[in-house]
Amino acid sequence: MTDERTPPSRPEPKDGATWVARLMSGEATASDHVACARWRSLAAENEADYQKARLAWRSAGAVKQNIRTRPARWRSYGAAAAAALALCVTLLALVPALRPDAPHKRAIAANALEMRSIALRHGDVVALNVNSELSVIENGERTSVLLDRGEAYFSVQPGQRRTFVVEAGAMQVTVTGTAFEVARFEKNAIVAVERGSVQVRVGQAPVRALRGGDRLLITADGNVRALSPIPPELVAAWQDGQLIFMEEPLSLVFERIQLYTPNRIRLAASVNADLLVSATFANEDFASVLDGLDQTLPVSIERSAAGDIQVVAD
Amino acid sequence: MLVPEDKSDPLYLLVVRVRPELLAYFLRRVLSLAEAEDLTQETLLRFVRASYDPSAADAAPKMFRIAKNQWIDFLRAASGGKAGAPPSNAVLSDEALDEAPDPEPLIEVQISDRQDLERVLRAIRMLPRKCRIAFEYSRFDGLSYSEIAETMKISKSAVEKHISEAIKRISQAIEGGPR
Repeated sequence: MTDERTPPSRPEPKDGATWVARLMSGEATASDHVACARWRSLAAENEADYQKARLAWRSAGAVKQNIRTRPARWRSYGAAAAAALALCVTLLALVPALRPDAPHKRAIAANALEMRSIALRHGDVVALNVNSELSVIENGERTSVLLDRGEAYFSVQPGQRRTFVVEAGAMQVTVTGTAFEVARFEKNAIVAVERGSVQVRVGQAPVRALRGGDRLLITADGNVRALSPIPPELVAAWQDGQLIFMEEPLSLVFERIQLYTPNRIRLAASVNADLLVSATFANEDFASVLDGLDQTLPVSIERSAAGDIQVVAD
Repeated sequence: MLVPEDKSDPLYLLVVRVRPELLAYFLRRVLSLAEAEDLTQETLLRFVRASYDPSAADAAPKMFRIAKNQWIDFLRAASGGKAGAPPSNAVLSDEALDEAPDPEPLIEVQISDRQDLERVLRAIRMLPRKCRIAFEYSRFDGLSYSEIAETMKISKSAVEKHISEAIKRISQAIEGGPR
């Protein structure tokens, strides 16, 4: 997986068309946006060139319905196979219901500096918090997401025949059209619903239905319990630069902030990991968040010489 | 989110911090991530042109107000109206920014003429085969360059070259037509 902290050296575009191509790649970074804005503001001819390219790109969107859509994905099996496929593709394009739609898998990771937003098929979007990883398998009308670690927010478009499933460890979340967050850490996993409803299955336990504002916590020992509901607009508030903990177990709080530091955070045995705590931080640096938690929670936070963070009871 | 360690470029740090929210704001209003990226870039350009201080405490609120105005201008342009007031380099107060168009409103690019659309359509159909396939995957199917690269068994930089070439040819087709 690519770590954008050390991106492979990419030459900076020198014309508007390449800048537009880069920004619309589905993988543009904050660095790309900043460099492009600076290039555009450098000279009037740069801006004119960019706007010409932007017009071409937008215009192509306007004629989308006039272009016959090909089958969703074909894979290269060599020139001969491709040639054979070309005929099939032409025929199958006339019969949409028979279009081949090979499962398509991709792995997506966000690095330590930047969140990522990724467009999936059918207009679905996933936002991935820093230091988080997931993989997506898109197969026909079914989209399966495996959340390996960290926090992810999903906005899923409604569709009668579609299935969208997120798995995070033992937890499986099934949705139709909705927006929700799933987080998976070493010990805890949570699901929180912004709008619509989702069904959550954990192991053999009965399926639970969650609605806007509902939150469910799954602990390492498999226990499932509801957390107090939160205002739906605060679901996945990390997207807005905020860290909001509302009556959450202390162990979960520190697992969530672990995403933001490469240094290991350890809870001492003396700490009551189940204590429910609340705290809010907005656009603060990591040291300030640690200081804030140290002051507001019944714990003391100590750093080792190596930078590791030890949380002990006051 | 937490502010990363590299504090060498305040504008970069600001964009890292506000971009997810900008994207989310536009994604609620447009159909694709690419459209949201486009409007995010226009917002950032306005911020840069206005010479706002990215390390100022009110930098993020300013960016969000510009985004709001950007969206209003976008809607006006889409409905055939004029986009905002004449360019101005004056830095407005927060209060004024709430009410007034932000500095240097951009002219939203639009294409609506039937002949222009036909030229665009023809230009796309006449693209070299690989170039056309890559462009259609990107623009019409919404695939990322990684996905296109994997699907077409070419490198990501080759995908970017194909898309860039397609944009240039479509642009030439639009320019070359009768006015």
